Parts: sequence; C-alpha cells; structure tokens
Amino acid sequence: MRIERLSMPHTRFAMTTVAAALMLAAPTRGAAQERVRVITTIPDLAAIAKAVGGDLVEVESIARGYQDPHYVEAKPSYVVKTSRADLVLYVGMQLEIGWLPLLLQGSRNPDLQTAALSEGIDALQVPEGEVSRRFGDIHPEGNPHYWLDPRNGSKIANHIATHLKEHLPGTTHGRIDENLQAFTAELERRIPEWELRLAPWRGLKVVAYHQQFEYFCAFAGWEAVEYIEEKPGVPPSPRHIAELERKMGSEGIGTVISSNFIDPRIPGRIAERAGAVHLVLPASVEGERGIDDYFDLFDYIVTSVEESLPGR
Amino acid sequence: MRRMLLCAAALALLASRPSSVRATAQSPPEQGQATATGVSRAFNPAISVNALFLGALFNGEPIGHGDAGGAAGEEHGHGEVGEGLQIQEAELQLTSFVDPYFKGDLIIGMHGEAVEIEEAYVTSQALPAGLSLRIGRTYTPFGKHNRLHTHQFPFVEPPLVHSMLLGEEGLSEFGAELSCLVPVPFFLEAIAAIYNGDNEYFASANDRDLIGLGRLGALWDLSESTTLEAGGSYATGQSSWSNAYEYLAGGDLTLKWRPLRRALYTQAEWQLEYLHGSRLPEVGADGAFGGLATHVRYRFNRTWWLGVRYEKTGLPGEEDESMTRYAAQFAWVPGEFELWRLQYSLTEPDLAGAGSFGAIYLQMTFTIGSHPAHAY
Repeated sequence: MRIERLSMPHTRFAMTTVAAALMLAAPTRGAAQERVRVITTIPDLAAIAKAVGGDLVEVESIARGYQDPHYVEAKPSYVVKTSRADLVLYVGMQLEIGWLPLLLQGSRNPDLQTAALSEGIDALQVPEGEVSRRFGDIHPEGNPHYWLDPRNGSKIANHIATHLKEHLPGTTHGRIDENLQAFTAELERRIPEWELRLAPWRGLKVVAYHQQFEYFCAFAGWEAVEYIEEKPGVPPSPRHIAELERKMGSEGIGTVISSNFIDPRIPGRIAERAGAVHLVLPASVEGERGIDDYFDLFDYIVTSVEESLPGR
Repeated sequence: MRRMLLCAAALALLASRPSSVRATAQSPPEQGQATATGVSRAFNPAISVNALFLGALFNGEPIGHGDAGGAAGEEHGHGEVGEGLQIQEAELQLTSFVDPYFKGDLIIGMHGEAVEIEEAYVTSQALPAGLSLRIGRTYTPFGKHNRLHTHQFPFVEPPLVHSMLLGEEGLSEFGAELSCLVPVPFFLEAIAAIYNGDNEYFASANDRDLIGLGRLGALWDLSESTTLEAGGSYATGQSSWSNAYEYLAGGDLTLKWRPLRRALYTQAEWQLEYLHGSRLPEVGADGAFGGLATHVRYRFNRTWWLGVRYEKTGLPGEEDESMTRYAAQFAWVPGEFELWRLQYSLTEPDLAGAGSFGAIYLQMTFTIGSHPAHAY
C-alpha cells in the first residue's frame, strides 16, 4: 500500500526533475583546450594577464574600470563566467570579500583555481593593534589598492605568469616568459618617465576622498594628510567637512583627489571653499575612454596631474 | 524510495573529486587568517550575528493568518512580529569548509525564548558536470521570499500570501537539493529537490511522505546596469489536512537597476511574486488559493531608501480570506552593517464590514562578525 503510494505523483515528479536536471547539465568544459580561460576581478589584472598571456589566454574582468571594486554585486550572470573559467585572479586583502565568494561557490566548477595576487606586495596602512569596525570598514591585511603603484606592476605580472604556466603545456612557457619580459621592460622604461613628469609635485600634501590612491601617492611622493571619508566607507559628517576645510586653509593644502566613481559634488565643494584644485582620477584600466592597458592608466593619471595642478 | 535516495547520494559522492576551487597563493577570501591567538583559530568557522530590534504599534485587530498578532514577549516564529518593543530575532551564522568535498552552514535563530536551527546544510564542492548538491535543513528555493532570513526581508513583515499558505516558518524543510547551471548563454539554474513533508502546507500525518520541488530561474543582463530575473517554482506532496496530494506553484519577476559609475549612490528594484496553492491550509476553504506581493525600492542617495509594497490575496480564493495590504517604508542605511526602517502597513479585508488593521514599525538591524557576502 505504502510502496504503491510512494511511487505515485510526487516521486515521479521528483525523479523526472532530477533526470531533467542531470540531462541539462551537459559538461561545460572541453577536454582539450588551447587557451586558458581567465576571469579577473578588476580590469587592471585583466590588462596585465592579456599582456603576459598574449594569445594563449582569454581574459575577462568582472568589474568595470569605472566601478567601485568594493561594491560589485554578485550577479548570477557573473557566475556563468566563473563556471566556464579555468582561473580566477583577484586582488585579495579582502577587497572582493563582499562578492567574490558567492561567484566561486555558485560556479559549481571543481576545476576552477583561484589566486590572489597580493603576495610579496609591501602593503600600506596595515592596521596596528586592535582591528575593529569602530574604525570603519578597514582591511585587516592592509590597503588593497596596490595596483595603483606602477612599481607593483611587475610583481603582479610575475604572479600571473606563474599561475598561467600551471595551466599551459611546457612548450608555451617560453612565450609566457618573453611576454613577461617585454611587459616588465616596458614598465621599467616608463616608470622613470612618469617619475620625471611628476617630480615638480614631489612632497605635495593632498586630501583624498577614500584611501584609494594611497599607493599612487607613495609612487608620486605625495602625502595624503586627510580623508574626506571620516573613516573608510563612512560618509563624511558636516562637522568633519568643516574641520577639513579649516585644516586645508591653515596648512595650505591645495589639492583634493577622488576617484571617478565618487560623486564629485562633495569633494568639489570642499575644494572650492578651501581654494584648492579638485583632481578626479580614474582608479583602474578602462576607467576612462582611451585607458586600454596598464601603461595607459598611468599616462592618463600623470597627464591629468600635469594639466590640473598648478606648476611648481 | 529511501534506498533510491541513498544510492543516488552514494553515486554522487563517488563521482565527486576533491575540490580544486583552491587558493594557490592565499586562502580564499571567505576564510580568515590565523591570528596571534594561535594557528588553530584559522580553522574556526566564519561567525556572524544579525539582530533585529523592533518597536510596533497596532491599530485594529491583527488580521491575516500567521500575520502580526499578540504582544511583545510572546513567542513568535521566523519573521513574525507582535506589538510593543522587542528583540524581533537574533541569528547566529557559522560557515566553513568541512573538507574538500563539502562546505557547511549553520544558522541558529533565537526569537522570544525559542532557539531553533533555521538552516543547517552542507553544499558539495566537488561534483562534476556543473552540479551542486545541498543536503540538510534549508529555507527551500521556492520563489524569492521563501529563501530570505528575517534580516533580509525587504519589508518588516513577510508577504501575506506566504504567511497564509506556508505559515510562520515558511517552506523550510530537511532534504536534498540538486542544482545545475544549464549551459545556455545566460544564467539559467535548474533545481530539483526532495524534502521531508512536515510543514504547515504539506503537513503529512505519515513521516515517510516526501515533497518534490522543482525550480527554474533565469537572469538576463539587459544592460550593464539592469538585470531581469524570472523564475518558476513547483512543489507537490501529501497533506494530512486534505488527505490528498496538494501542490504549490509560484512565479517571480525581479528587475534591478544600479548604474555602475554611481553604484554607491543610487539603485532601484521592482519585484513581483505570485504564489498559488491548491488549497489554503486548515481554513476549510475548498478551492485553490493564491496571492501576490509586488514592491519597489529606490535608493535616492548614499544612505536613504524608499520602498512601497502592494499585496493582494484571494486570487483566486474565498472572499473571507481575500485582503489587500499596502506598505510604505523609509530606510536609513549608514553602511553594510546597520539598517534602520520606519514602515507603515495597512491591511484591508475585502469582506464587507470587516475592520482594517494598521501597523507602524520602527526596526533596527545590525550585523557583527565576519563580513558576509551579499547575495544578488
């Protein structure tokens, strides 16, 4: 009696749906593949992976260059990308903690490898002592925006080359090494040029919106003396803004910087009232039209500095 | 049936390989780092706590089965609210990898004096062919709202039709879910599941009766800022209150907009969910019963949100159980870990002569502990 009933509609329905699900789940990965499918969290890593991998890789970034990488949403359509990838390259230091775990879990891709590229980076602003959200949305491992110092570019490229080689036959490793060398050589040629062009502003004191450009400031020899955000991720209060404007006046700070995904009105108004220059900068490759690779990013930033800041 | 399930589970495990969703340079972002207190702590699960404080003021007799009722201090289930000042709920969430094969999640809910396991499940990490297996007690993937924990509810109360059909616990059951990504150019997820049948809707007198559930959900990127999600769910099982096989069907549509260049400052969401049961439990209504809830939420600057919701039950259904509810809400969200909401809800029965019910809520939600990833 029971057996008969249990084999009735709901069981049949369940079995049919399970069978349908199994049939629909055709393997998504080819047996023999020539190109490594790489997904990166930000376009900067994609640009470097393209430079190092050349035609041996297929690279796509999840975040866009004009998007705040902290607040990317874990859209199911991104899961489709991670489900078909071989390798996910991410910044690490908890930058992507709010969204990347869901894209990895949802990928249902047991062969997917992941790699943070922060190894060997001299992290800035690593909190000392107590780590607590009382101090805002801080990153216990330090400031994660390290790609904004071009001197970190070759470290990132080295890591990427190592990870790509794990997915490629030995016969192709020579090409990866050649690409890596070419990328590093180009970077070594460009870095002194950028340093020279930024030299007039060495020692500049700036007010920054978020701790986004800390690594660029370190490269340019600038000092971010204050932040418009009261604490990381915490919008400024009117009292904080008033204090900031007073400090800018008394210490002669003439530059406010913010990234292009921040509403320019608040930093713009602060700069205007303090008689300072408001410099809006892209924080990633593809962040503005014409920034197609890692070199373009610094060309654009350095040119913006030259065009916007008063000569010294 | 049981033997078949065991065989299927054994086959799935045999087919699985140790997960290589592995970090080659650093631990995955969801795992913490060892600290000065010792390396053993590195294996502790990620822990977070969500708590909801609520002040509620009612006008009129609470209506709607499983809806707001009683006073603060009385025991209320998942998402249910009483009048007065109260801790609506506190949830403790633990998550960690069990081994290379499974990830484990445990969510314990505390409301009033009751402590219960809201969810406890393991999720496979190593199944081939794009499959994922989840075993345990879950908020079943039936539609959109049923999967949410109280702190994730878009409005203070659960939708009327959910309360009326599924009761205060929702469709929450122990079972096994197999899901896969269908290989099409857009996101298409198929879920097939079998659960124990011991809940308000499929309340079988026989413990050996099971529920079968299926869901198909798709999402399309209409632009880089806009997504459209559509889903259909169906469940069937034996019910003791009708002594027959009953079904539950649902459909949902969600449109989300968030411009990437200004993602910090503005976003909007429209959602429509319809639920249809072959009967309304325990009321004695003989025919099918359905209802819908639709809401719009709009973020108009970095910290402020506005939301409105319209609900209608009894589509079709008995006139006695047919009602309309309106809700409007202001929310202040200073960051990812704190939320304040002020909401007014008005419930109007369609039955002539019945009184309406109004409620004002002030709710505060906070999260401490590990940084949770946010489901889309």
